[in-house]
Amino acid sequence: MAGVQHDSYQRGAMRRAPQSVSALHFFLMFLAAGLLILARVEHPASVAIATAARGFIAPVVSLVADIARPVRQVVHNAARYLTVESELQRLERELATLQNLLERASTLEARNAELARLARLVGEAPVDAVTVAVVAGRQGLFSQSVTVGAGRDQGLRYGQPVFSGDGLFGRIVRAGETTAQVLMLSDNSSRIAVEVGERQTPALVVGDDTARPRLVYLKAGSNVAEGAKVVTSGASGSFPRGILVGHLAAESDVVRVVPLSSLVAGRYLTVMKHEVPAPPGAEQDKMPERGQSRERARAAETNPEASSRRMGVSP
Amino acid sequence: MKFVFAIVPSVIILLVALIAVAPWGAPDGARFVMPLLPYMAAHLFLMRGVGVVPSPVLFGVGVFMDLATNGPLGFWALIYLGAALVVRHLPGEMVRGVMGRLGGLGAMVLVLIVFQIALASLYKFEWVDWQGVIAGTSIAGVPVLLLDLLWRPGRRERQLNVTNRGAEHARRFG
Repeated sequence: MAGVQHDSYQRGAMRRAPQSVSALHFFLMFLAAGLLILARVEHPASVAIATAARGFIAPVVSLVADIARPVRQVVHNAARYLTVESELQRLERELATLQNLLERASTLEARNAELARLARLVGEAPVDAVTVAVVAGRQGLFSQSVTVGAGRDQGLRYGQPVFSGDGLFGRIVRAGETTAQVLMLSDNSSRIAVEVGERQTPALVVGDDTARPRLVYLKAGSNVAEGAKVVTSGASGSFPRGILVGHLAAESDVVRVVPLSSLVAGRYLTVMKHEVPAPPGAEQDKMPERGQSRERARAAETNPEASSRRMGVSP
Repeated sequence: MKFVFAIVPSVIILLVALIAVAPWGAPDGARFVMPLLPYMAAHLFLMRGVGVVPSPVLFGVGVFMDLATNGPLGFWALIYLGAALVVRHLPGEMVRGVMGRLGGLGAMVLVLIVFQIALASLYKFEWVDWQGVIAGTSIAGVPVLLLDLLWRPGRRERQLNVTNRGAEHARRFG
């Protein structure tokens, strides 16, 4: 018998034996399908398990990210060297423009201060901000969110705005004890109330899983030019007013916003500890604790944490 | 030796999963490729019949990918297990020689594409970026293709093919 099998191999016959599939395999498939259904209906148990498990694997993922950092840096540097010439020319042009703007800004700042003094304007209180590390990036089909390595223990709460570089990146949608999930501007469930241009025309920035979210509900006949500034309106209370989101861009028959923030998450993001009003009937663990962030802000004013920094939110 | 034979594929799949979730600074399109890499490693072992790829490992790695990619729990686990189910039922003739295994790889890529689009579209109640899925899954299959072409069967694999021990192990641990 063994001779026949050996002969069979020599002729290059079947090299892979048929494999049986155990009942366990089918059980695990049903289990996975069950988990998926629970996730779809956002069952509290599923959310709790996922949040706790993300906190559990965060140190492992963070360690892997640290190991990958030198490679990432090499790739980043190589990409920069390829574009250094054009980047230099762009920066020279920008510098010339900015020097003119700087002179204008200093004049306007002095005038603004004078008018504020005359009107006895009460300035906005600075809001506490904290810089957090990204421990898991965006991958797969459900990718328009990232996980950061800080959570409720560090004062992060549902709805707080998150920045990358100079612009708005997204907001916190789920805060575990040691990790939080940040929904990006580009996610198709993201909606942000904004104002467009100098006339502050109200509109809504709607994510559609692309790098340039759509601008909808812009009043017909609004006189806004391409490149106009898009800032948060603060209408929903989720975001403070005046945070720069990006610039207007027309794309065939769709109006889009070019985000100022790169939607490819870097290593770090900044979370503004802005107090967000809790919607009625919201889960307690997902919502901010009213009054607590204000108390924390007051405490931070007298004894700021080493990792936090002050951040003005005025436009 | 049996223990090593049983555990090596699982360890390799876990290592590939850790590599796949690391932020390498890859272009945006890579997000369609990376979560498939652990299954691609599993596919090599499944097709060759070398070693054992236990279903709980596929399930665990799938859940790990769900957690690390902020996806819904169960998505990648179901994809991995579904694809493994199809591959384990491929007829023996299909994986005979290089051309047969290329056919197996093509079938697996097709199954993964269909599973991903169908499941994600059902989950979201809207069509997902199917072009990204097709491109990403096809690209993820390239390393398997290259490894399969370069893989020379070792003494152990030849013995297994001769005595059909792979089937025994699969029945016992699979």
